[in-house]
Amino acid sequence: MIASTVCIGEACSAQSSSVQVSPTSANFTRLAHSGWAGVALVSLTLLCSVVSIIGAWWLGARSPNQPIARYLPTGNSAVFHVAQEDAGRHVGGLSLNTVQRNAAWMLRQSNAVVYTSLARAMGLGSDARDNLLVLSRAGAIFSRSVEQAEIDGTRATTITEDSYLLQSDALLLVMERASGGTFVFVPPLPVLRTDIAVDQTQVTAGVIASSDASMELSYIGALTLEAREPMQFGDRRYDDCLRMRNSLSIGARDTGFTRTWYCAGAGMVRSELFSSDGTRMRSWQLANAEAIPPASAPRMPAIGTLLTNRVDWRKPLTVAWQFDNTDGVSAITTEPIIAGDAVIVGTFTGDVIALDRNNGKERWRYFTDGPIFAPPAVADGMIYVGSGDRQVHAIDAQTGAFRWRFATHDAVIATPAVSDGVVYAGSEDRTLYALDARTGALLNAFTTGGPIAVAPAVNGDTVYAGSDDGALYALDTTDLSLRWAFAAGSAVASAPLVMSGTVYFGARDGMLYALKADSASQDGEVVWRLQAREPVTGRIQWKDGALFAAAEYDLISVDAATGQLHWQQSSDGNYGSPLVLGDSIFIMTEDEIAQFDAVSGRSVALFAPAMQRKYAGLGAGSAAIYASYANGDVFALAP
Amino acid sequence: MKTISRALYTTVSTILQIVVDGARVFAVDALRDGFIDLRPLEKAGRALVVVAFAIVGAFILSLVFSEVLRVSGPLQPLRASSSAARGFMAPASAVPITYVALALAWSYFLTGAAQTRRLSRWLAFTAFTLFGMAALGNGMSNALFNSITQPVAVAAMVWLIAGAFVLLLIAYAALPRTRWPLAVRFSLIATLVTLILLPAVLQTAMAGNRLENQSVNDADSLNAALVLTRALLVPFLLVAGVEMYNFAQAVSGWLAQSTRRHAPARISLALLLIALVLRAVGLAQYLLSTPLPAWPWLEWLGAGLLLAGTAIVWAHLRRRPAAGAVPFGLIVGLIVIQSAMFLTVIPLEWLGSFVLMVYAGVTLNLEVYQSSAAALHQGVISLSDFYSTYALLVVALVCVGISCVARRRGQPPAVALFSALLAWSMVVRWLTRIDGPLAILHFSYAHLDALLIVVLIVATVWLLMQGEMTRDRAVRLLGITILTALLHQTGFLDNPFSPLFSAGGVLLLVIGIIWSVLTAGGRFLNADSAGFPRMSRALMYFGYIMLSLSVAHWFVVSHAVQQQAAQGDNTMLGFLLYGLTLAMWLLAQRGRPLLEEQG
Repeated sequence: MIASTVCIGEACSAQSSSVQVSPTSANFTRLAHSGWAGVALVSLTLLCSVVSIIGAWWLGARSPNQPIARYLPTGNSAVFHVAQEDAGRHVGGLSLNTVQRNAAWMLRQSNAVVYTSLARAMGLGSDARDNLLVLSRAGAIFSRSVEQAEIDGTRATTITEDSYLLQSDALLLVMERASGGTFVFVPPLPVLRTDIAVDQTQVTAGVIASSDASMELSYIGALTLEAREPMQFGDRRYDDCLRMRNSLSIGARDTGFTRTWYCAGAGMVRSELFSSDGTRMRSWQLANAEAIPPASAPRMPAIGTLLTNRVDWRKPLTVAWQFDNTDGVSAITTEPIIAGDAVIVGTFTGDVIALDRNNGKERWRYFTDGPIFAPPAVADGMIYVGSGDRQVHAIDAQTGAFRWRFATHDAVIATPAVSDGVVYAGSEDRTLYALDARTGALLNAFTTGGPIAVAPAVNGDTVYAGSDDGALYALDTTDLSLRWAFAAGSAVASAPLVMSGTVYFGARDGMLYALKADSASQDGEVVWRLQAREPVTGRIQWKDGALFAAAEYDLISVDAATGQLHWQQSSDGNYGSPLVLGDSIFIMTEDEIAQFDAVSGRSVALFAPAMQRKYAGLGAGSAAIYASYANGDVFALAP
Repeated sequence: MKTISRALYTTVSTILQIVVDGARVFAVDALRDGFIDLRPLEKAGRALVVVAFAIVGAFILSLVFSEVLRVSGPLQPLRASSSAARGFMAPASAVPITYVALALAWSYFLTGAAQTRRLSRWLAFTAFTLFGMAALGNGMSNALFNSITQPVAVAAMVWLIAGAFVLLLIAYAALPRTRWPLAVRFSLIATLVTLILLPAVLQTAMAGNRLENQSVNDADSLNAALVLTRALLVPFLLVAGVEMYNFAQAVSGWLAQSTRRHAPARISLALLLIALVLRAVGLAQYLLSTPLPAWPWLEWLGAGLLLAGTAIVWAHLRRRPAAGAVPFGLIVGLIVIQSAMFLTVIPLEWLGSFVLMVYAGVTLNLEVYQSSAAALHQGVISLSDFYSTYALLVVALVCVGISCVARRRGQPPAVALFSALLAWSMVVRWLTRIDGPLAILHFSYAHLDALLIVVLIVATVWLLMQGEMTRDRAVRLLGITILTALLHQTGFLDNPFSPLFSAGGVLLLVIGIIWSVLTAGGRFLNADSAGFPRMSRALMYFGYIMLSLSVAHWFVVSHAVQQQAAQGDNTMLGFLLYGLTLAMWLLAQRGRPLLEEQG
């Protein structure tokens, strides 16, 4: 018999009572009540909780252990020098952009022939849907190479897209898409193995089928691990490299062989092409994993020159084309922008997709290693985009070829601004970077008190950047030195717009501010401020002395000179950013595109190109507007 | 000359005495009284408190160095829409940290609540069901529709959660009847809570794995759960706004009393005049630099409406000066009514979704889930819109009711008058809100502050002219002037250069938390009662602190600006609605409580 208490501090000590318990139970209870056993039990419980949660996290988050992955860094972009062997000279460059996804993603992009190839390699059954889970656990590598080289006196651009299945110790080529068509290897062709001994050869035989299965050719591939050796490229030394030899015969034709070096941490660093008689024809050597100056990027028409006024935007809009981002999980996260004859959107999975403006067909896709939350900037034939992979990427607008990337310390979620050969990119690491538009070299940087999440604006020799610290900074473009800083009531929520000597921007305090662009005061000078019901976010538009902005569920029109409210329209859900075309304002709501008269604010029309969907944004072309949706759809709507 | 020097010396030494005395009372005494006394707790309880202290400390460190987490590891995408609020990416390492904090917070909270009186016990469990369980509802329901997750796996998770929840319910109901030691009770609850959270941890982790490439919404599950948990904190944030007023009143009260103790009448008057001049300088500068038509006449008119109610109560109290104190419970009760939407409607939607999800998980009937969930969501949106628009009027009506009942039952005038004043304040706020019928009169505290300065100056001049400025009146007016000056400093809540994520803002947050934890003992942790034992108080308090910190920490590390601002907005709302009405109440009493409460 022992005294037992409820033991909730002093208050319960008086509630002692006597109970009969067994000796074992008595020992346990005595131990528990002695104090230290309780401490031990509490400690053990806390430890178990922590370990089980972290363990579950680790189990869910870990990727399959693939020894081969060290030779294939994810999210990799690199530039190679191309040399013609007979002349022994540099003839061009090749940019390579690779990303790791899962095999289910590859299947969603393709068709039954691809599934047949995957099924052969992975030993799956005949029904693709039944094996979707298995495929989603299998790694895949996608690479897109753009080669711009002068061969035999002719300058040519060759684009090749390869899809590989990534196994624990093998990389298998499943599909190759080039100008000649799309071909699937059934079974996939091994191009890299780490489980074979030096000088050992693996032979694979199968068929190469066109993607629509209308044509088939037999193939025989032989893969040899020639050596494991260190490599030296310039001042960089790679200690762990594999030298692979791949030969391929298609039908009765021997296409020669390639010798490729894959190095740990760098990926492919050199490749050589030999003819069937052993003559080296061309070679590709890693030039830079970060950047290369564009060779001769074609200039593109500036966005501002679009002749939208010639179109009668009062006519009803009809769907000209629809693009469906068929991978199904890759939400479109940006509003469409126009780059020459392409419509560009960004996705949650980090893809920049270029669509043909005329028919909506995908022209190219560039992979980054993090989500894209803001539309790219376009200038001089280049596309500059920030990504959740903490980098600013520069891409050739025509081909989607990688040009350079610049690493910041945090996600880049704002559209960069480009002016006079300088890219101004804000990062969530609180810094505004000024980068050389051609090379990506860092020119200057300015650190604010908070993340920079809205696009900067350049006007003359001043760049305006809003920060989460609630300030709008006016900086000198030459050295990013501070000219003045204005303290808003809260984080800056919309990109600044500079018109007629005034900077307009919205903040999370619900204010729309107008400041003197060339303020003499270090604190900035307010021209006017307007209190909206909700924060003004997104893009502010200007037309004929009026501003148009969305403040969550309100669309407001404001006199740009005085800040007087012209009109206000409200919606049940949040508005996207407004778009001014002719004398109309187009804006997306949760389930439709609304058109208002710019002067009176009167509702003109409503369009619903899609069922109720989460919108991403609106963009304008010369004769159409483009609407992107989070489910992956892009619509071109023309009057 | 010697006389002037002596007068100067006397004045300076008096001011020093006042400040030192005030600081001693404020800092030293409050800290001494506020320390949490661990001695009466059993060893396991002490261990839990020490662990809680360590976790709070770790979170505070992480808040200060939040950027390190983002820079040093991978970032996990959270939102699929750039049109959504900020907070797109969070450091992946913050996810398990937050889940651990949530699991421990709820374990502490439930273990503590299990030994309290029946009402609070079941309120706590309801809170866990509505808010804590939601941590998995979103992720799980999204997983259900994820084409690459096997339905069988989802069903297994649902059964695991349901089983653990039923066991927790049984254990929770049985615990008060058992005599198990604290360690056993805590271990049981912590184990079951952890089991309930585990599937959500796994789901979020898989969503963060880029190779999995799952539905983007899965990654948002923890984020959504914390946004929901923030709703649970809304009443506390509103109370924090009231506490800001209480803090200002305490400080100004201490200084007023200290002045009365140490300063003769002339120095008291001199201090009052200095304080008024200092307060008036800023206003005068603004008025002089702004053309007359640009003065905020309409805003002042709105603020004047609020003061008009105060004037009526002031006139009433001139006849019956002894009003009594306003019960804090009355304010807390009204805050709970005001927060009813957050506390019931939104979590009910989650609970409804969870029930539907369980149904769909068991029957694998996704069509019913989709149609029902959409209808539920639409209903909740409509209801919350309605409540958001009319919540202030609802509280005003309740206040009128309380005022009438208190007057009829002969309760102290404070209850009836304060309720009436609060009703007036709510109606004025509703009318002048930014989309209200009198939106043109919308005003901020700065406009009210300007009017208060004018009122104080007029009152001082009038009393001096009438020869009625006694030392007591001078000290009270000084106290009110200091109070308005302190209340004017609440701008830090929405000051752009000190939001939570900037160094200054984080320091404010951190100092607030440290101060709150260090002085918690003085407020209620060291007390004890049969219905609310000391150990339960400690566990519930630290559970709540961990919950608050995990939410605040998540919003800071994920750069969720809107959520951070919402925290500040709620605190500001509590201050503007209740704190300012308390200030008006103090004004109507001519500052008497400043001297009486501390006396």
